[in-house]
Amino acid sequence: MILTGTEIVEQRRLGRIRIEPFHPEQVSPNSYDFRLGDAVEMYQSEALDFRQENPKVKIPIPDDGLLLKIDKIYLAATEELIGSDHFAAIIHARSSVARLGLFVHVTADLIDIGSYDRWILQLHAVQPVRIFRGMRIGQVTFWSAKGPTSK
Amino acid sequence: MILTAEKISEEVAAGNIVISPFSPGNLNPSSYSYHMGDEILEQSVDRDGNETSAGEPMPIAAGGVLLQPKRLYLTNTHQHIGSRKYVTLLSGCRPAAQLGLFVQLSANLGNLGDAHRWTLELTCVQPVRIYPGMLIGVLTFWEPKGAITYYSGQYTAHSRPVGNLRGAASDWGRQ
Repeated sequence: MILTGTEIVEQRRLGRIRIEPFHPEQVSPNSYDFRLGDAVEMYQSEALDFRQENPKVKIPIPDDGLLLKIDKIYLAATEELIGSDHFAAIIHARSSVARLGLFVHVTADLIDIGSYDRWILQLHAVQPVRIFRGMRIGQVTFWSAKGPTSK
Repeated sequence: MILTAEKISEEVAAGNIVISPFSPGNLNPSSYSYHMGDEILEQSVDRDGNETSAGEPMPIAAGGVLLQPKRLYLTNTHQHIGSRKYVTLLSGCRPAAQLGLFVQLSANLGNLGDAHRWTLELTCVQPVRIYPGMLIGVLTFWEPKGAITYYSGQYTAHSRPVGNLRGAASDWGRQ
């Protein structure tokens, strides 16, 4: 079952969900809006390889935003640390972001139980699109689990 | 509700979830990491959108294969996967995602029914070299609500990478 916004707030109060920093105005009816951090990373080489090092370069997002190209993959941390030892979390683009053709993950949307970190988004633009640091870029939902979570 | 690792393990042992071969080492706290198979089928279409490559899947060499952007490739899961009790969702894993490799194109939902090796759709943002049998994604299992019926479509019969089986474009219209 998916948690409502009210329940996310309550479970956070109980320490069973962690979102830091937390801003009540970012709570939605059944999710929490997370923000983009202040930099992206890009690969130095064009062709990538699962068995090789793929060196990256960090690019701070300027005040007037960063224009994403369509043929590159960009990695970007969320501003918030997010996770739970009790609930699985799934990330989604905000619909206003999706409407600009921006993917916020590349078919990897699960935050496993027990993970607590800044989530690394995989940004991919269908058309060139400008992003801004701190923008509300996505939503995280929390889902109750069946079975022991002691692992 | 999403199943935890211990519950997945318990239901595999009970036969209510099929992941074969199954290795406890691939369990994550609320998911299971699966591998891709060792065959690939490049899909192409002509300008009118008709499929032009209905060929056989090709073996992937040990040295891997370099995928190119704006192309669609089909491979399969190494594991036989399925459940008649829990709904399976199948997605990519973080290492694949971070190299810009899409695994399943917004079709991550499994059906209640028999196990098989699932066909995976792959497409990439930048050229990327993949290897046969590599770790490529994660499975999650979800408890459904309501009376259960089983998948009766034709894809479960295929354990090698298989393209669209709906036939000509005219079949897509409203019946």
